[in-house]
Amino acid sequence: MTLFRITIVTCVLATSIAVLGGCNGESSSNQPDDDRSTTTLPEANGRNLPALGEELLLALAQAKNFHHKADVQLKQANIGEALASIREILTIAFPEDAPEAEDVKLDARARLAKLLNVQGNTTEAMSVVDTGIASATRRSFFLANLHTVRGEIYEAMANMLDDDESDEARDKARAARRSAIEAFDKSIEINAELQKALMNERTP
Amino acid sequence: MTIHDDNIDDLAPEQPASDEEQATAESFADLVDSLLMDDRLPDIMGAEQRELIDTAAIMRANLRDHALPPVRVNALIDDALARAADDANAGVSRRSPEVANDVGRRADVADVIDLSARRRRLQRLIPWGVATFAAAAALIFALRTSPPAESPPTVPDQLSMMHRSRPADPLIGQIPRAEAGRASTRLDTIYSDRMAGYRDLRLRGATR
Repeated sequence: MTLFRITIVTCVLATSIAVLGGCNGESSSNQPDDDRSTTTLPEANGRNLPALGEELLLALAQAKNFHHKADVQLKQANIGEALASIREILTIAFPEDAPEAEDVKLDARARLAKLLNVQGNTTEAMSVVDTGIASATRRSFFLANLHTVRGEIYEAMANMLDDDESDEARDKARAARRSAIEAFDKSIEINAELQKALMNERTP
Repeated sequence: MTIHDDNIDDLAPEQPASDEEQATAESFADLVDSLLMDDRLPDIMGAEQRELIDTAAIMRANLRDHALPPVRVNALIDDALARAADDANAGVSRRSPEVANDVGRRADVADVIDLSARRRRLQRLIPWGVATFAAAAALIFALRTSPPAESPPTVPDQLSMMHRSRPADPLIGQIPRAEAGRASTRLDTIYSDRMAGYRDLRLRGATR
């Protein structure tokens, strides 16, 4: 009976020591987890940034090809075909949550709107720009560029109205120039904000 | 003349035995003595002698009481218990000369007693063995240094920014008005940068 008691006591002690030892091991292995906060990845608009993948690269390559195709078509003075090629970029399926998608599509809209504006199709150009601005989910240099193009379109509208010497046309031209200034100001504001944010990021 | 002659009764008892018969009787008497003393019998015997010895052995077995006297049985049990209780002299036989003789004759009984004693000894050692093993295991667990934390895989748990899909603003920067329509050039820059990041990611073995 005494031996049995000794055995029980020894086993209980051994188990206690083992549990304590195991706990120490676990706490030491958990040590790096506490430091993980220092390597937490930054977030954009409250979501984790996805890793680069083939889907994104394929979409970017597709957009790139459409731009180059439009370059060639413009050199051949095929503006209509060039516009169609650029419009194709707006239909490319990018991966969800890929921030590049918005940047690429806003930039394509800027190019499309500029071409339409050069053609004198200010109404459609403005529609392309406004749709892009409305669809933007964040402030970016590409959005600022779109506001710049918007200002250019208003500027072109005003210039076209200058040919009409009527008072109504003169008022519309003045209003268009005011809108152009507002658009340029908006672009400047966004650019300044982003530049400041980038400077803050680079100088911790 | 043979001993097995059917007309053995015809022998004249009053006639003195011849020298040859006397020698044969003495030789057979020696063999019977050896049998009774459990001594080794000669390997080579005549057929007649072998037959007579076998007969004598059968008769002896039939006349003998096989059961051990109670005194000797008690002595055997006492001896076995004494040996089992004495750990220090576990390997030493404590048989008394009197008992040793019987044990020698009853080897099977002694073997059984030895086995049970050995089993009892082992049963007494088992708790100590278990306790020793548990204590050793506890010491190993307590004293072992925790293995160094495995270096976290560089990919994909710790992706750097270049491996992630992200806004292109830092890469492109502010777009001058004169370059507002040069989306093609900007996209070339974005694509090259993302391709470089993707290739680096693949080279590091990332799958996602």
